[in-house]
Amino acid sequence: MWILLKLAARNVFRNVRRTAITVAAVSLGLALMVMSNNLSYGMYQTMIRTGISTMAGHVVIQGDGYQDSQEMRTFVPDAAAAQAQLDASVGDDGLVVPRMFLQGLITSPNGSVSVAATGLDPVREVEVSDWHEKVVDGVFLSDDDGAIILGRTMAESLQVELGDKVVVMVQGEEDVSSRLFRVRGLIATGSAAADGFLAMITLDAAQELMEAPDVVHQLSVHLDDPDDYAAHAAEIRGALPESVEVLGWPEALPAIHDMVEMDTRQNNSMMFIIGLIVALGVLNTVLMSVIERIREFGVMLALGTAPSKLVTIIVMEGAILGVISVAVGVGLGMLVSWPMITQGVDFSAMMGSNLEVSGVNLDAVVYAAIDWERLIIYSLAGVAMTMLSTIYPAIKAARLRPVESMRHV
Amino acid sequence: MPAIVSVRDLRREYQQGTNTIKALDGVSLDIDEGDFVVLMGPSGSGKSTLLNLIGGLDAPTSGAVVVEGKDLAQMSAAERARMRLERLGFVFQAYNLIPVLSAYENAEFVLLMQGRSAAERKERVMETLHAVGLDGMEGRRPSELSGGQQQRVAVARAIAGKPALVLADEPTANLDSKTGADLVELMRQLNEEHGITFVFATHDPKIMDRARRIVRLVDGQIVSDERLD
Repeated sequence: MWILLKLAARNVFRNVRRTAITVAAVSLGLALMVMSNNLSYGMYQTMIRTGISTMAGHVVIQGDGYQDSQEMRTFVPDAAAAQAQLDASVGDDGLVVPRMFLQGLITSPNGSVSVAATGLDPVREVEVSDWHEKVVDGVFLSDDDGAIILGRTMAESLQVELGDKVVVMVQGEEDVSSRLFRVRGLIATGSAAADGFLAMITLDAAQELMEAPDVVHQLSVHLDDPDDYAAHAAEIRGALPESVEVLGWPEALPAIHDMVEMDTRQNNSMMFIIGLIVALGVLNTVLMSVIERIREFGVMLALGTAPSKLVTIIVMEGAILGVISVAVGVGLGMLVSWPMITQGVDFSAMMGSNLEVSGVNLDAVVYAAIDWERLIIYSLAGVAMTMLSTIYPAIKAARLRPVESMRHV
Repeated sequence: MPAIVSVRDLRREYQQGTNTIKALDGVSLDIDEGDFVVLMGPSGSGKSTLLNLIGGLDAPTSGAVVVEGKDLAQMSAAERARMRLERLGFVFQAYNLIPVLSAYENAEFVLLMQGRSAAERKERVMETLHAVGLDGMEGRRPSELSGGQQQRVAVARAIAGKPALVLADEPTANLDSKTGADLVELMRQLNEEHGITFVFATHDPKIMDRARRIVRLVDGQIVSDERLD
């Protein structure tokens, strides 16, 4: 086997220029795939993370039918007891966060706009979402039930500043219900549109406004290990009554999940096409190198070398080419990705300040991330592809007839 | 002396367009173990074809080739390949060394394919390279050797695996007169000292001068078979 490997390695470097061109083609293709995938993966992760942390959880518990209807009077009943039960179930694996989502009207002496107000538990919320980091003026919510945080654009529309009073009106149990709040903070999410309708109040204030004590719209479970969501969802589903729906994050955030799935499929198709083009290039190169060596293979066969050994040599040549190309390609891909990972890619020039994907407000600067799983798949596929490209030339060599081959010039 | 090769009524025809070329036309021949036989004849007389058929590199249209008691027609391609590897050595006109391997590695190639141990390989290669006069040139690649030196490496490769029979097709055709004569002398020496049977296809008088037996072919038929010793 050693002599076959030695022969293969020397054959690969026999024509240095050709090998360099082949390696360049494969590695550039691979580098492009790695870079593009790292950027997509970073964006997906950010979308999923942001979506999960601010709009849902890895597992969400809602009133039965709320996911489809978004009906404001569909609650998780006995919220305190349910939350205690979930706290016990999740234990040290994560944190349970209660939320209410209110649609209504917010008014100031200078005007009124529609509002999407989230009622939340500030102590728990800061552990899972980064709303508090987006406060650009004032402070985030605390235990003050009279406080409200407004999107910066909304504050501008209402012409209010920190300390000013606003009134939020929503549909109560029977009549319109309203409550007075004092503006304690302004946030900027990165999306001017979102900043025009977002507001945050405490959970107690939201329940009071809805005239519905001890209920929430959502109990979201945020896990330390996101991959555990399905197991936790199943466990929670078994423990809670059927009057609530228990959803894993892909069901709770179908738009994000579907978008990521679709985009991944599209990327896969693109990667497959790039891979195919590169494979054909490798096939051509290896075929040429086999045709150039027909005489040599004829001699080896004449000396009694088994045809299977010729196949082994040529496939090994493909493997060596593949390993070198993958090493160069992955190295190059990571090198190009690195600034995208550490400094991010600023899409603001292209997208403006509103970078909203599938309902999730993202920062205009998107950070790439290393998708190790794909990196390993691409690396193995790169080597496998170059090896597969050698199969046809190898079989061709193995079928040579020594006498005719040795006459080949 | 028992026959190491027996050829019976051997025919090999080629199709060239609508014409049938009879490269060999009913050849029968026995070659004894330890012999030094020259097949001679003009171009197209069938000597290389006969050599290829004896070596199992080509299949006859009809007739039989028996090497060491085994009928090649009854053997599979893999068995014939194994036989070539274990029992036969080849020397070609154009040296046909593997260009990416050194002289040492070229001579070692057959031994590696035979699965010999590292120690045995080293001993055999050094011994054969010494026998062909290439001491100190082990590390050189074919491109760094003269034609005569390359053919010596080819001879070393042919005999390193201790074959019973070496088939040499015009081994001196690309060499100058002195180098060719030296090589013939070397092969005769190997024949005498190690008892290796040599069969040549050639029209080089130097080889004929050292032959023990000369078989002349014309138009695919044996026209004379002369024993000289």
